[in-house]
Amino acid sequence: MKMVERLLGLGSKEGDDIQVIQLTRQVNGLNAFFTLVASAGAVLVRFSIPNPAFLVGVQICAALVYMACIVLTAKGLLNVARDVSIYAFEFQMFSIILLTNAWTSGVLFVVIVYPLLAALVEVSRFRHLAISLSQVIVLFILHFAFPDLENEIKRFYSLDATATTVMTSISLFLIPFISAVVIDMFFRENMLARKKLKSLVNEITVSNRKLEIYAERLRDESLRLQAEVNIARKIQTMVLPSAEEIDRVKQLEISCTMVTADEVGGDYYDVIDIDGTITLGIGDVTGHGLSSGIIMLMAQTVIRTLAEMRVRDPAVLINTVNQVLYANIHRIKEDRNMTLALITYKDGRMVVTGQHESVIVLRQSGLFEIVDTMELGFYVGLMPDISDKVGQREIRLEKGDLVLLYSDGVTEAERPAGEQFGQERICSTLRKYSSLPTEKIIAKFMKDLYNYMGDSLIQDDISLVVIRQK
Amino acid sequence: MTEDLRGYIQEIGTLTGETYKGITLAAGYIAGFFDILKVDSPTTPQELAKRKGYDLGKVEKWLHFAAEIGIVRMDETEGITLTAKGLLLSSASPVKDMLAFIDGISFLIRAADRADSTFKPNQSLDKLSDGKISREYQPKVSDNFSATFIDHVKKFDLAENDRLLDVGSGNGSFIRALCKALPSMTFTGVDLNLFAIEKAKKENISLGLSDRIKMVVGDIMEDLDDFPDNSYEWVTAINVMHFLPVGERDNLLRHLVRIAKRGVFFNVCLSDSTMIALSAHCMMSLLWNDFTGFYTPPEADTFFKELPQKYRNMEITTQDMMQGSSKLVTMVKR
Repeated sequence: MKMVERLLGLGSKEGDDIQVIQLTRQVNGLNAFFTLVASAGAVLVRFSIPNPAFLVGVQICAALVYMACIVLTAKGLLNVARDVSIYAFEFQMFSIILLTNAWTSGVLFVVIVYPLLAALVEVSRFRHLAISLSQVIVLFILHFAFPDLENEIKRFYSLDATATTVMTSISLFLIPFISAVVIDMFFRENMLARKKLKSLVNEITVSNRKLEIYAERLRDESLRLQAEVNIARKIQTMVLPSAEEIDRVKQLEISCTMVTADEVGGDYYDVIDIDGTITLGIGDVTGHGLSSGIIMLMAQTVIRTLAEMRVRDPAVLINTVNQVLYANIHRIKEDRNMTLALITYKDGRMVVTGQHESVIVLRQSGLFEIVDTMELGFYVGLMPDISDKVGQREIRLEKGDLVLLYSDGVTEAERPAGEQFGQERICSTLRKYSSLPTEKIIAKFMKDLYNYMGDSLIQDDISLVVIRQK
Repeated sequence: MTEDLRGYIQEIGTLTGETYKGITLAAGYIAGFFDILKVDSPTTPQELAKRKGYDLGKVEKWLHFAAEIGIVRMDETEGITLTAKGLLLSSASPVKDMLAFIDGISFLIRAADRADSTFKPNQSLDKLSDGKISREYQPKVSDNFSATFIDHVKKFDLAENDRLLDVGSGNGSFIRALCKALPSMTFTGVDLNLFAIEKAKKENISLGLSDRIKMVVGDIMEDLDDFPDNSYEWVTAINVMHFLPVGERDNLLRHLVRIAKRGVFFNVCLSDSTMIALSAHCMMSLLWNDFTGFYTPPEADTFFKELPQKYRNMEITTQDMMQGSSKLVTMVKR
C-alpha cells in the first residue's frame, strides 16, 4: 500500500493546493492502471493469438508511454502528462480496433470511456467526446463507403477469428473495469481531499480563534492605556487653581492655562495666596502618563502644605519638595524627576528659585528681563539633597510689569517644517499683546502658538502663566 | 369646571403626550433602530435585539410604540418594516435637517435634567461636561445641516481652486462635509476653541484632508483683521450669529463681506418661527455659556430690512432652512 501511495504522490508535495494534489494523484493512478492493463494485454495477446506482432507492439508502446507519463508528472510536468496519457489511450484503442476487424470490432465500445477518462484527469470532456465520435465516424465511413479498403487493412494484418473473439472479450471486460476504477479513484481522492480540507478548515478556525483572542487582548490593553491617560489627565488638571481662586489675588492680575497633549506630559503650575503671600509654582515631571501625573500631584500637595504652614523661604520650600519627592519616587521605583521653579511674592517683591524654563519679565517701559533659572536649582527628586545647588533671584515688580512663566511645550512647539516656537517668539508675542488684560494675553498667545504650529499636533503639555503687577 | 379650564387641561395633556412621544422617538433614534429598519426588507424584534445586543422585551415595547404612532408596520407573518413616515427619520431621509433636531433632543433633555445648575449664571451643560457637549453636539447637527447647504451652494458658479473660509468652524465637521462634496476647493476654518481646532486637525489628518483644510485659531469678534480683503472667494458663517452679542453681529457681517471676493453664506435662526425654534431659543442657553439668542421677530425684521440698504453692491437672497426655523442668507457680489 505504501508503494501505491508513493506512486500516487509522485509530483506533488506537502503544502501544495489540495486540488492540485488530488489531480496529480488521479493522473498517476490512471497512468499506473493503464500501464498495468497494457502490459497484461500484451502478455495475454502474445500467448492466445496467432500472428500477434502488431497487437503486442501497440500494447508495449502504449505501456511505455504511460510509464513515461508517470515520470513526466514526477518531474512536475503534470499538464503535459494529462494530455499525453489520454491521447495515447485513444490512439492505442483506435489501433486495436483497426487491427481487430475495424467496424465489427468488439473493442469499438471502449470509445465510450474517453470522456470519463478526460473528466478524471480534468481535460476537456467535449474534446474527447468529439474524438470518440470521430473515431466511430471514420470506421463507419470506412466500412460502408470503402469496404474494399477495410478488407485490405484486415487482410494486411491477417489475424484470424480467435483474435477478434479474444479482443472482444477483453474489451467487454475492460469497459466496466475501467469505469469502475475511474469512479473509484474519483471517490477515493475526493474523500481524501475532503478530509484534508476539513483539517485545514479546523486549523484556520483554531488560528482565527487565536487571532481573535490576541485582538481582544490588544483592545483591552489599549482601553487600559486610554483609561490610564484619562485618569492622568484628570489628576493633572483637577488640582489646578480655579479662576475664582486666582481672581481673589489682590496684588496681582494672574491668568493661566494648561493644554495637555494626548499622552499627558506631567506639567504643573499653581497659585496659592495665603495671607497676602503668594506662592507661584511651575514645573514639569519627566516622562508621560499616570506616574507623571501622580508625582505632579505629590509636588503640589507638598507645596500647598508648606504654603499653608507659612513657609516663606523659597529655598526651604524647594528643598523640602525635593526630599519628599526623592523618597517617594524611590518607593515607586520609577526613573522620574521634575523641573520646578517656585516663586514667592509679597508687596512687589518676587523671589525665584529652582530650575525650570526661564522667567520672562516685561517691564512697563518695554524692556525685557529674562531670568535664567539654570543656576537656581537642580532636578527635583533626583538626589536626596540639593540644598547646595539651590540659588535665589529677586525681582522687584512695578505697576504694569508683566511676568510670563511657561513650560517647554511652548518653546518646543513645532511647525510641520520642524522649526520650534522658541524663546524669542515668546518674547515678541508677549510684547505684541502686552497692553491687553492677562486673560486676553493668554488667549491671543495661544492663538498665535496654535496658528504657528499649523497642521502639527500638540506633542507635549503646554502651560502658560501670565502675571501683571497691579 | 369652566370651559377654559377644561381646554387648558386638555392642552397641557396633549403637550405632555407629545413630549413623551418625542422623547421615546428620540430614544429609538439614538438606539440606532432607524439604521436597521428598512422599508422593503422586513426584520423581526428578535433580529433587532440581537443585532444591537439589546433586551428583547424593551425592543418589543419600543416597536409597539412605533407601530402605534405609525412609523413602523408590524405584520405577524412578514415582520417589521418602516412606513413612509418612518423613512423620514432614517438616514435615507430627504429632510436631513429634521434629523438634526431629533439628535438635539437628547442634549436638550440632559440640559433640562440639570436645569437647577444650567440656569445659573456662567453655567451650562457644556461647562458641566467639560466641553464634551460641544464636541458631540456640533458634528451631529452640522452633518445633517451641511447636506442641505451643499445642495444650495452647488447652484452657484463655484470655480475650481476657489477658497472658502468658514468662521466659527468648531471642530470642522461642516467644512469636512463641504470638502468631500466640493473636491477641487480648499478650505479654512477659524474658531476660538483650542480643543475644537486640535480635534479638527487630528480628524483632517486621519482622513487625509489636511492638504485642503487649514484650521486656524481665532476669535471672530477680534481676530478677523488677520484675514485681508477679498482673500477668500466664499465665506460661510453657519449657526454663528446666535453666539455673538446682538451688537457684534453687524460687525461680523462687515468682516465677512470684506473678506469674501464673491459671496457670503450665513444663516439667521428665528426665535419665534416654529415651536422647535421657540424651545431651542431657551434650551440652547442652557447648553452653552456663549449662546446669545436667536433673532427675535423685531430683530429679524430690522435685520432683513437694513441688509439690502447696507450692502447695495450685493445681490441678497434668503431661503428657509431647518424646517422654517432658520433662514439661509446668500450675499453675492454684483
